[in-house]
Amino acid sequence: MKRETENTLLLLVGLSIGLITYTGVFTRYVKPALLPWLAATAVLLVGLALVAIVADIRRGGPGHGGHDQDPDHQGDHSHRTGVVWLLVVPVVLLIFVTPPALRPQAAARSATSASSDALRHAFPPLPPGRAPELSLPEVLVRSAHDSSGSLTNRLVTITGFVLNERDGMDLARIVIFCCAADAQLARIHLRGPAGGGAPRFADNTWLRVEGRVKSGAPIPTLDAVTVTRVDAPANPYA
Amino acid sequence: MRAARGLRVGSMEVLVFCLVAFAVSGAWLRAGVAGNAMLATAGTVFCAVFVQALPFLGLGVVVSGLIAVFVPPERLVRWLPRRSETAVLAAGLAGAALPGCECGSVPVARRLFGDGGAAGAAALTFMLAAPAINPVVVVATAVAFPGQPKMVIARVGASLLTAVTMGWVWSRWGRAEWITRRLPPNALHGPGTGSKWLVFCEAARHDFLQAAAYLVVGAAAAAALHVLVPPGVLERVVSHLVVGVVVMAALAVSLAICSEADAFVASSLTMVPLVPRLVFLVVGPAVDVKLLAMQSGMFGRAFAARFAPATLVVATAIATVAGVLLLGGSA
Repeated sequence: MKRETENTLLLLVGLSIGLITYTGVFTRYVKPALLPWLAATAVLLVGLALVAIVADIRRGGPGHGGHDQDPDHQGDHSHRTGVVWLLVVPVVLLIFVTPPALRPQAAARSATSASSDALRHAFPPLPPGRAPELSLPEVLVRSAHDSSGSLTNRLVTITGFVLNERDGMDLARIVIFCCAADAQLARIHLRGPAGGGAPRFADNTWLRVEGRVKSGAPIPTLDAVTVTRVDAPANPYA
Repeated sequence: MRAARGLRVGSMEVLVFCLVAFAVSGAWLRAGVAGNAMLATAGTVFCAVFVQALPFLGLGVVVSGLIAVFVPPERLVRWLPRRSETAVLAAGLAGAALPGCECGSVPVARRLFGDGGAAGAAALTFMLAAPAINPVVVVATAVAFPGQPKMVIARVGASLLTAVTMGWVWSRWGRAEWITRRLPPNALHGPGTGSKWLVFCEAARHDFLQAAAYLVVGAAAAAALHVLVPPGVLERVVSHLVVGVVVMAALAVSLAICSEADAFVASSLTMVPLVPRLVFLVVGPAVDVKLLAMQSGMFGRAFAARFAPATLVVATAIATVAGVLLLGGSA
């Protein structure tokens, strides 16, 4: 591969990272907290590419500066540059294809068992309010390991999407620990006056549910009091 | 590419043509990927591993660029102790302080190696330690395995032990005549003349292109494993310790992922127990197909044909023992 092609690819990788960071598409793949790092990476890569391109032009064209154009010379430099072509793949995927966020079927189904070996201990009390907002993973962890019973007879608010199973409806979130590649499914059974049978929702409908958590193994149950349809959140993962 | 050049079609023209073709078919491609559950999952897992690892690659190439400018290998040699045993130990620990991925460490080690002698074993130890246990890799591993500090400790310990062991093995049994390749006059990256700023950019640019390209291979393999292997099959296969270790060591050798990114591939393989994944993380930076090619290019074939298999055996054994001792319970 010619030096100027390498520089162009480097520029494109930088631009594609900048693009998904700017549009927010990156939350489909990694945690939102990575945003400043992705922005810095995009700036770094674009900068490196521009410096190389400008320096080559100043030297009077890439052929004068580098030895990359002569394939025989590659031998003693010990790197084969053909492999750099592979960078076309992420550029095309991130700029043109932008694969969607994971669907629940693709997530490993073990989010509840992952925390089962931790010891039971007293959790800090829930935030004040009539029905404090909790994330689904937090509810599951508290339900399994909290010895102070902070969830007992407390109204909480949980947001998640619907998963219809044979014996009823579940409220679920996809949990990522590091990036979408390690996604696991967190779920809670949805029952009670508002959640049971009557208003069936289609799979992947996003709901905000107020209710009381009843612990159970392996999956606890949420006795729903009110159920509201909401829009899908910007960050698809919990 | 030679034939292509004969037709006056260079790599730039091919690249532009590819991009235009993909841009034109973009909407169709997007719908096709989103409509196919397998393709969508594979694409998302690929992008996830690639995007998550990229900032660490960026950090790594910045540091290795700074080293190329400010810490020439000749200066490192002067800092080493005289006795070969202590020099090996010092080189292993020095590796922990000098970030850079394995693509960068082979040329640096070749510089340090010189004509062999006392510095030889230390140079090889440095070559194995630097990409495996430097701060960038340690942070990346901690990020990839949140809440599992033992994984980080086991990785650093097993890698350092592997590097030091191979240094001692070389000083005991190594032979100078295996080293058939001499240093090219300008072994460091790219057109090395110019200001320090240009040397830095050149080293960082070169390291990034190499490492990111191999990261594509690793991310693609992770994506393929996610969708092609039915859930449960791999779980059953690798749940046997020996089989799991052999499979993951073979995977590490064949995938050749950069050490700053491999933790994310390993953490994505949620169906594999921790001990084989540790073997993957210890073997990968020490020996893989890309390193084999680089070592035979810079040291000579006779050297690489002996050193790489020996490293593979030592790294696999040490990582397995360290894993069973440190992670055994949670595997």
